[in-house]
Amino acid sequence: MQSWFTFELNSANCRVEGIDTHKTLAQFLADRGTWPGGRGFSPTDPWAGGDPILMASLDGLGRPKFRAVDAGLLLLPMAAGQHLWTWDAVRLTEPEHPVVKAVQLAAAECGPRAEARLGILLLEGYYRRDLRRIGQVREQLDGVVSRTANWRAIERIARAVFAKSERNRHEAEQEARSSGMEKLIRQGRIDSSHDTLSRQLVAFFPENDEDLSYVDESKRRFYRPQTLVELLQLKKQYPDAQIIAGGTGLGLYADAVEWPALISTEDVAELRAVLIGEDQWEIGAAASLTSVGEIVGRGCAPFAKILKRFASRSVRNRATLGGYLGSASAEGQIAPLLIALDARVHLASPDGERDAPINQFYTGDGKTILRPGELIRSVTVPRFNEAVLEARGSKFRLCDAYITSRRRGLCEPFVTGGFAVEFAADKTIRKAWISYSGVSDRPVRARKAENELAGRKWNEKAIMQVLPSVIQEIKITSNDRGDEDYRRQLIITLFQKFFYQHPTIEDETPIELGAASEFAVPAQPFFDAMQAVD
Amino acid sequence: MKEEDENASSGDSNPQITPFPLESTEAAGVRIETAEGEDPFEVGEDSTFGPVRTEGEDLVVSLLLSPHAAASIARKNGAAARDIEGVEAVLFSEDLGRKKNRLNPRRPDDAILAEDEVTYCGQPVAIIVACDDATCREARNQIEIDYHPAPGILSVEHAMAMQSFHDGERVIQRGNATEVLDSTHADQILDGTFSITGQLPGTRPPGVRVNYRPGDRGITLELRTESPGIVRSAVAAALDLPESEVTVEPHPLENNGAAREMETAFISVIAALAASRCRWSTRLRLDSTENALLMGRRHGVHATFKAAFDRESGCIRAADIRFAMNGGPAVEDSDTILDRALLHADGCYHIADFCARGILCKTSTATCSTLPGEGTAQGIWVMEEMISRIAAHLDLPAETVREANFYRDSGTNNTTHYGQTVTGAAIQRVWKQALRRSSFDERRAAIHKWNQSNASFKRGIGVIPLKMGIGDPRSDRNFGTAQIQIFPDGSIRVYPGYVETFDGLTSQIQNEVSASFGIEREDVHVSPGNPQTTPLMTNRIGVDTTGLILKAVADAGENLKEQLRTVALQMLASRGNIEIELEAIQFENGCAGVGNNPESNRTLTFSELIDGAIRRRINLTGVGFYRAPNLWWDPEVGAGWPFSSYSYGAAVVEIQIDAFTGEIDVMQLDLVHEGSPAPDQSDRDEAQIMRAFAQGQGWLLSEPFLFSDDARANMTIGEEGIPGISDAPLAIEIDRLRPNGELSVAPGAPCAEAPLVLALAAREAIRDAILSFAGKNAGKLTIDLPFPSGPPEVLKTLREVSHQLAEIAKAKRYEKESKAVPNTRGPEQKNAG
Repeated sequence: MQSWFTFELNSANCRVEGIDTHKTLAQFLADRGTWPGGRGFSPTDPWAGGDPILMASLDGLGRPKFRAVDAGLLLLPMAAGQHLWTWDAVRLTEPEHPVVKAVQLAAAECGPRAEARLGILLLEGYYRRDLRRIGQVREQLDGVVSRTANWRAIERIARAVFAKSERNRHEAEQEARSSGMEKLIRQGRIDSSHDTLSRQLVAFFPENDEDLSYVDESKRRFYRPQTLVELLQLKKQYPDAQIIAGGTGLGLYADAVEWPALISTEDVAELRAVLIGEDQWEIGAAASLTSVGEIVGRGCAPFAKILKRFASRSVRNRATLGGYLGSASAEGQIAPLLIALDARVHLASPDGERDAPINQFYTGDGKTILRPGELIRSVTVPRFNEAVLEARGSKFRLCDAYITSRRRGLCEPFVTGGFAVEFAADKTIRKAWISYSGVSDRPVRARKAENELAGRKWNEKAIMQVLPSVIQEIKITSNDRGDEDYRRQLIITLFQKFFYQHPTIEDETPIELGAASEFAVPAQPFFDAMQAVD
Repeated sequence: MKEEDENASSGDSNPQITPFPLESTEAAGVRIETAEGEDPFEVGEDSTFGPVRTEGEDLVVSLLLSPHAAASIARKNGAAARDIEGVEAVLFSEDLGRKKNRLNPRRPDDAILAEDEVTYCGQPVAIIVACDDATCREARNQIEIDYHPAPGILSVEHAMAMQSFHDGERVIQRGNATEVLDSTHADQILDGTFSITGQLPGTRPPGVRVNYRPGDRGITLELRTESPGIVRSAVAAALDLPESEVTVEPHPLENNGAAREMETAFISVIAALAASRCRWSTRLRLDSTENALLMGRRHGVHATFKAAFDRESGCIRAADIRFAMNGGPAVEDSDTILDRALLHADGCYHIADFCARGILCKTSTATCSTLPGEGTAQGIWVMEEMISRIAAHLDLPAETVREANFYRDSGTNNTTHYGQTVTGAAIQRVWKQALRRSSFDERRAAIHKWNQSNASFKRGIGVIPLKMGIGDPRSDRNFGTAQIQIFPDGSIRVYPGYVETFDGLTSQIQNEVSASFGIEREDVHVSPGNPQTTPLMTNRIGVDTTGLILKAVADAGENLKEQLRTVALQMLASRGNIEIELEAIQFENGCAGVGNNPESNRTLTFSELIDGAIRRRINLTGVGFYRAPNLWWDPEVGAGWPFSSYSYGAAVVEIQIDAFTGEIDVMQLDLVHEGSPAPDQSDRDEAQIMRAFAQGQGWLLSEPFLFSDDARANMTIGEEGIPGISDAPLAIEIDRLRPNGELSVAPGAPCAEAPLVLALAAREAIRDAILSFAGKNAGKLTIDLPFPSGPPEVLKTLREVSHQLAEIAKAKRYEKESKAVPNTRGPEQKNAG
């Protein structure tokens, strides 16, 4: 056990000794300041956008990436061994950086904290290699929720800096073409932006090759093992220890709750991996939702859609499916889709492994089927290609999920609906999944309605006849917001929406009924290589 | 500290010092022994009272808030809390005494700490002072208070039912609306009600730090406040100090929306009392729940209106609007807010016989008077809602009805109901510009077509005009002050009298002063927020701060330049240039004189000039003041000229409704705003416009107002609706227009509040979209769109619409059937929906 750890903060080594395991990075930065001459740092409520900072990490294929993470949801020991940058440091050391210049010149945000939040999110987007289209701006910046944001200026500078980044990459690729290295540019292994941050990113290599066992002054402990075996052993040794993944859920309670011991899953390679198999994806419990979205979302459109609306970018960069399921949130947005995808959760303990379908994982009232000493290992989601469907006895499958909330980003949803229907070769319904969360103390399935659908054709009449069973079966529990009526409506209308967006069995792409997307030309790329004549 | 206090330590009872109430109840207990005549809150050199701290961090002040909206307090016991190690003091109202437990001089009737009765939800009952937050929390849990809860009045409707009002009704009227309404035929009359709920300010919780050491003569406060003057006078009154001994250091506000007046005075007094009691510096910071409860929310309104109109054109002949406004537990500044609502109740419309009445309801929820557009929005929105309903009733397009009623520049058609003149042409100009810019008619037709081919999503478009009065009805607030100091090397420091809100005014001042004196921008340092230099400060909300301050700065500059010109004349004369006229001396390019060639002997460099001025013992500090002329407002009579100018604007908003979920996408915004002739302020103006519009959009669409007994629930629910960038309109166009004709009194950029009101166009668009669900039956529907119109409310309205359509269809069928088969007894009961 050690009572200290170090991490890189703004390219300077930072040593922490004895500090409380429950202290968040935001509080730490508030105490010591972010950078000489920087503006004072005071933590913001995560529901109001939080305090993002930049962290370097490797993605699934070993490529270095910047991730914006919320400092208020990062317990200090999680920062051990990490490389972090704050906005103040970037702003003061690189005044010529395109993002810094853009943010300072445009009156985009008021006040240092809001500006820092915007700046970090723009920086992350600047270094992302997959931000191509204008429609992706909002997804990157959805943590910008404040009374002081100048929406128009923010969109303008976001497009400008992302276009610049694309242009740099394009030009670097052109240059590298002669030496055959353009692939390395595209993968980010060679610097194309030519600024200090990108050089540091390209040279980044994580130094976490050892376990972390940290104890603070009050004898509270934080463990970060490197293998699953060690993790299970630790859990057996300290049965009262709290397993923590990204910290975006538990971090909200760091002030209020006492954890004598915390065990982090972050460094366990087996849990971070997202395995792409022929028949299924195996999503490790410690994989960040962003990586999950990137990998699984590519093959499963509803997954990408749901994940994009989960909290905000800086939360998604840390949140994990393991943490999400473990928190047993009744209003969770992802569970209905997982149920509709017929996903299974795999649990591991020193005594062995077992698995269960997602809706059986929740037992109600914030509890799950996890036994003491057991933890979530992974979630498997079937890939519904022809072979898999055939093995299941189906020919076609439709699936979608919908989130309704008061605002698009960073919002607890009213109701989330996840729906799927599998069809036999004769186009009758073989099996259906109708699930909702936000209606009671756990995600629920409308079993009766699902059974009634079996054997019927996929048409309006069938839907209408089945809806009364849905209403009967799903009991809405009241909350203190007084919106039971609305949620009761939603469980009907969301299923109707599913039908109207997927009327054709053979075509799993949903019909864009509202076509809001067509308005803002989201498909337009930031930078069109064909037009770059200079 | 007054001289008489020297007698305090000798035990003489001194009438100037408030005696410590030794006969206080068991609730306060006796924790500190005092000799009679000693004031435990005394601040001054001779205070030897209390434990002497010599080092350490600031003490933390925390509040115990009442969980009930109304209750009587039977018992207060802080003994257990006081025993906790680290707790310096636990104070109840009895410990403060009646005089100190008030926000003098503004609110002499209302208690800071609840005495034997709780008057609003979240009212502080105890002040806890301890060494850190954790100890404060622990102490808070140990305090025992016996409440006997009573039902509090949580809404305007409830207050009206209970007849719980402040003061009497205020009326502004012209002509005889009641008579005309009574004598009009019923089919030309429409009446209705409209409720506007409050909005949580959603800004960072405020905090205050009081700097005080034993033996200090005065006291210093650091906090974010819009009005340091009000804080200063409240703290001075509470501590019995002259205002000159109270120093307030205001920190910059994040933006206009974070401006607070009485609320910051409230927490400052608490922290200052704690500091003087414990003889040490203190800091108080509210958390989000406390912030939501204590800082208050917008004034909700329940309005009843009745209008008489012409059926053909929609021209309104007479209207009577009654506002019942949530006035909180104490009037405070809410009467001004009510005045603003009444003053804006006419919107952009000329109504010959018009009566606007208002009354403040006494409720158990705190209200905030310093939010942008407060009062103005409520007044305008009620009028616009009334017009929308009239248009719907007459099955005329809303724009046509609006145009028919605009102010015109002829005869008496350009006078408001309180007697001020409006520029009808300005309204026409912004209106036409908005319609043209947004291609309103083409888009309307396109939307109509799109709607016909989409069953489950509908689009709508709406346009709203705006006339917003710039100026505070409390005329004494329409002033600006500034001070300019020139240093020996010729550099300049400007102290304008306002608190910084990062809206670009500071850099505008820098530009203007450097241009005025002809020196480099870098040599001018602008330092706003210095109440020690400019004790009277201009508010950020409700007045044209920019205009007033710029004029004050210009005044200070002119005063100085006048002196400097004389000096320059003398200096140039001593070089032999005796034919130069005083008026010909210019300041430009770092020179003063005629022509700006530093080589010639008809000019001096600026630093030479200053050097000469110092030698001649000329005062280099210039003081400027500006008062907006000819302003007056008499609330008793309901007449006056309260505004220095009007700001005109118009906005077109297109939205899309998802009929499955009631969710709303704001598709496009076209906003036109008149004002601000300053040429290079477009970035700043755009920022202000967007922020104001965002706040309006949140208030109207997504921020719910719920009030349950659980304070924490209220706060989170409210904040969840604040729109983020993902809710922003997909396309935004903003047009700034320079004011036509004569520049109104003050140049400036009053666009921090007006666009908030323009967000109403979104609500108009929602109504338009909902009507399109009805197709050709639109005219037969009555749409009661709740406020705010978030997804649940929109879906509920759609359901009601579909019920109404079902009824209409049933009625038609019955009609058809009874015509086809005349002998049928009754209609077939078919359920159509």
